[in-house]
Amino acid sequence: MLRRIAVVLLLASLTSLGGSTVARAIMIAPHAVFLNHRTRSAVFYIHNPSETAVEASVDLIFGYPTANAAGEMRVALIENPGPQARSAAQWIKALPRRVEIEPGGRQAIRLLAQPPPGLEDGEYWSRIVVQSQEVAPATPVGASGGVQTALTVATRTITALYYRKGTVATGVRMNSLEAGVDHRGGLFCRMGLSRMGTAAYLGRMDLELTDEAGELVQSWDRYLAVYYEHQRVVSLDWKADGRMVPGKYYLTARLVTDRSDLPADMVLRYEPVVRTAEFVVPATGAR
Amino acid sequence: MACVLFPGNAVAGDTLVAGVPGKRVPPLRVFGTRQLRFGDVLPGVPNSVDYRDANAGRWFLIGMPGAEVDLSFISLPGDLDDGASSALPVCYPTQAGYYTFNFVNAASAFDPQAGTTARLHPFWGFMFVWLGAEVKPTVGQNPGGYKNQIVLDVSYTGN
Repeated sequence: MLRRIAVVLLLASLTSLGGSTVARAIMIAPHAVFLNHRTRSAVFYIHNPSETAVEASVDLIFGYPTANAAGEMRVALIENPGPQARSAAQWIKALPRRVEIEPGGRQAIRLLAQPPPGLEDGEYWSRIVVQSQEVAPATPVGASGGVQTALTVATRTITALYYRKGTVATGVRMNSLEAGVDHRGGLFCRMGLSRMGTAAYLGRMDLELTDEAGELVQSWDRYLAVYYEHQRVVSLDWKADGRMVPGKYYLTARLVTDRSDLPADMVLRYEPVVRTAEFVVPATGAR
Repeated sequence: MACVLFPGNAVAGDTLVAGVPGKRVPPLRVFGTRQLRFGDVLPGVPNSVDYRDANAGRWFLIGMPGAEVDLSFISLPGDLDDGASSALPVCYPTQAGYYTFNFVNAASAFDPQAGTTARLHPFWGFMFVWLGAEVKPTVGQNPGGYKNQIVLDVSYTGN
């Protein structure tokens, strides 16, 4: 309830700051859509909670989260994936693809799959890309009779889609784990991850930092998605009042398939994967 | 795990999985809350708006607290057009910014051409994104109304 009140108050303040301020939004639900080869269809909803009508268009583009060269996770969208990609984007259609949604309105979008014959068992992926813009066109503003401009802001909201055929299984391999103190004086860990099986690994990483005496110093958890293989770098902040004492430490990463944000019957289970990295905090790196 | 508590139709916040009833999780909501405004533009005089400026474009996101999101400007327009034959060049020499509250001076900067990932506020699930730009009218720029659209791509990374 507190969060709801805060959102309402915040939006009210944002929409009252200046005449040209706008508050257009769409909301896509659910945040992950699962289809299977038996039903070959699913429904998601586009909701317009704003006070103006919006136009929305729906596209399916192959994409998945992966790490860039710096180890940061990004969602790669690939318009023309090769035949080796596990893409469902080209054979799943959204109906309707373009809709106009009145203020407070909601539109159901049906997804229909027409997979190619002979499709192998496994999981196939796409991203649902919903672009929205207000129905009323923007009006350029500026000096009368001169050059007037309007650069409006719009959004594309991107949602994950999974299509499962036959028996699917997932797993993950932690090929490497490294930890240390980064340039901010915080902790980082770098892990090499590979997916196993025929479906994306959707899990969680639990990280525990212990000192040389085996005492727990701090713990963190992060969601984890591994579609192929990548090297991921995770920055970890110390507790606000924490002090890093020089010495030897151990960071233990435990990968599990517990995801509270996904429906339990859609989560593919896999045994926990555990690995520990040892590192030293030098006197100059402590804070 | 926070449950969804959004105004409006509650069904839109439910996780629906091909007809399988699921649990309630917060979907991602993205608001375009402010146009990028250049004010008066004079022919031959470049006009720049920093992302920390009150005229910068602004988006507001609400989603799953603590979740990581990918922020990308997939196709930043290279010009504004008047709907006829004239174009007004626009570029993005300054950084964009993001922060979990509406305090742009505390924002982390990022290259809008490259995009970034960021975590929503761990309790509120909020995120603000700002973007500035620069228009470069020519000396002989035709008077008229020029417009275009900047599209912010937002996606949960699943991490």
